[in-house]
Amino acid sequence: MNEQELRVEILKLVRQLGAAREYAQEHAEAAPVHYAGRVYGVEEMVNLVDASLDFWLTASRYAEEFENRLAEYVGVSDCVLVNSGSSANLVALTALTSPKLGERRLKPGDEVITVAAGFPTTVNPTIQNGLVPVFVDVSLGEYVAIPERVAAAIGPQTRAIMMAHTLGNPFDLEAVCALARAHELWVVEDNCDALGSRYNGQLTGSFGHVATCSFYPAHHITMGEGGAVLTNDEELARIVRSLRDWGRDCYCTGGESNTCGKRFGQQFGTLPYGYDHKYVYSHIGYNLKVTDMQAAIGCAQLERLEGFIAARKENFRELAAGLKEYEERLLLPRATRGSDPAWFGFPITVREDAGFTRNELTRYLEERQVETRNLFCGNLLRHPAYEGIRHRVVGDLTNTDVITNNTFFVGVYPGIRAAQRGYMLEKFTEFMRAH
Amino acid sequence: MATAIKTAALIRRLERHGGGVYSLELEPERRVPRYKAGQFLHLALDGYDPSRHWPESRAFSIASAPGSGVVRITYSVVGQFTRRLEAEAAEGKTVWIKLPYGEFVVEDGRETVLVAGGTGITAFTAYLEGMSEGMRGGMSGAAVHVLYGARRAELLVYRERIEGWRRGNERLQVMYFAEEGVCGEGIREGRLRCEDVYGAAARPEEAVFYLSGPPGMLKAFSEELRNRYGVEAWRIRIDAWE
Repeated sequence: MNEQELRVEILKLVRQLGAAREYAQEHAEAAPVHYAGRVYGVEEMVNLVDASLDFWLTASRYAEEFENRLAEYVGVSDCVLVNSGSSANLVALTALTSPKLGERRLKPGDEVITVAAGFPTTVNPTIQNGLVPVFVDVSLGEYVAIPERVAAAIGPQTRAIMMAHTLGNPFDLEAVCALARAHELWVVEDNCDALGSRYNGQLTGSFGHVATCSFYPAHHITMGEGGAVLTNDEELARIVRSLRDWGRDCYCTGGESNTCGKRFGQQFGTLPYGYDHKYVYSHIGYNLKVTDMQAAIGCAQLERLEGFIAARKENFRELAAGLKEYEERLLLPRATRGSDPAWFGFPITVREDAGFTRNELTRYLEERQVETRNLFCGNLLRHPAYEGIRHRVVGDLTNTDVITNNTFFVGVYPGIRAAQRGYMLEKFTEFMRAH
Repeated sequence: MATAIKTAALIRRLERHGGGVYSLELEPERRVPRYKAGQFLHLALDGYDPSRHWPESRAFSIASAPGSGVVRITYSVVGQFTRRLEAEAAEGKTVWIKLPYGEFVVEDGRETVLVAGGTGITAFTAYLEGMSEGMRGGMSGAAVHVLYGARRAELLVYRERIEGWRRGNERLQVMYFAEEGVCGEGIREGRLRCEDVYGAAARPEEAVFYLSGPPGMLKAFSEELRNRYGVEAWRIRIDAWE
């Protein structure tokens, strides 16, 4: 057999294995009920093995396909793959510090408005770049920044707003974008938990100057580890690619040379004229690239995205309906005005007068194999790593502290089907009846 | 700039213009990302295997406007790769292309002078085609002057198309130049000169000059525009490849 025939035979066997895995997922027991997880099948496994047989290893044909398709899906000009959602946040915000942006760039000491109730790597890039996070409180039930608080936080040093669409629920993009326009602020959408969410009919990730996605297994689609930066600004896209690729000025992909046709014909800084463009650095960068194997899985996952979103929404609807009778003791989530979230999870806040605590409820569920998660870090400022960081708080963080003590979420991911959903609701009911 | 893709492409049409100048119409197998007028592609004659390095290729301006589904290039035989292309390109043959690349994109908003030598015109044709469609759609803007020169009149291979785009387009003014042979109506005899370039603009002290063509022409014009006419460097844009 020649190489091509061997590949066909290998992929035939992989298809068989993939079909078996699909069957197992579709016929899973009612418990355990994970809060999230990868949902995959034949095409993911075939693509993964196909890419591995190329043995190009670093980003190649699948990465280019994924970047173009995701950009088209979200409705932006550029998508840049990176190795995680956190890396996406890092390069997205760092891009705004690029000297190539001239006076528009963020400089150390500039302020970035954000929230403390979320995931740390929404905030970390601000600190890592010598910028100052300004924290505002969020609304309970929606878990996103209160627009009036954002407006109140804008001061003379404010230059950007960087926030997440918490658990898929879009923050008030209309208000935030209007504030940004009025005060000439950058907007960074952390869209890691919200791929497929819509605000006034438009997909989140397409509103800000730059946005990010995550493809960790818990997210809407996965490639194991992976993330992406989205933008409609080609200059920002070039900067993001540079930061991802060691900070270099050249845009050749791995294994390529002189794509621009000017490799030895340009002047940069005080370097000798014609210094090899492949080794000219215009940013203090990183290496945050993905492999083509990761992107290959992502390409197959993109095909399923709409189905995944529909499943998440259905799970959310069913959980909301099933838990409605406990609303007096549990604050159930609500979509923000004008939004249609592709929910990441189903957040619940145990009311102060519920007669039980968040931890009592989550312990009960966990012991019965229903996974729960806190709303990530709760109040970020209470964590050891953030003691003593330079920051500002505008107003109070009362709701953020309530979240720290009383909020958790359960899963709505597509791996949860009617059997798991029914089991989860049954466990809630048992607990509520006992309390 | 959209992420570049690599795709096989069928040569749907091959045009021989004479004098070693050819045009190819390529039908890509995969959907081509949104590209901008003025961007370029790489074309390889050997097959691309994703487990190996991209084969030897050469850059060509994308002469067709974005969105047509067909990608057009025009080349003149000047070196080893284009000699091979001349020998091997045929309708029905599959080649490999990767695209889009480049930042030689004409910006609207101020008076513009586009200077093209020979097949260098292909850096501007997509823009002119798009501009013509925009004008039909009611778009307005600053004047665009095209100065297009070639060795002989028949090598002004885009003249007919440009004339088509010029009809009803008051923004667009065009001058043709042929260095030798019979020129014909509307074509000036002789080599394109820098005074023609600078003089084409109504307000040359504010205009932006885009230059595309042989390296010698680019060097001579950019130096003369800068040194003789005092045009600032940022107003001289060059599509220069090694």
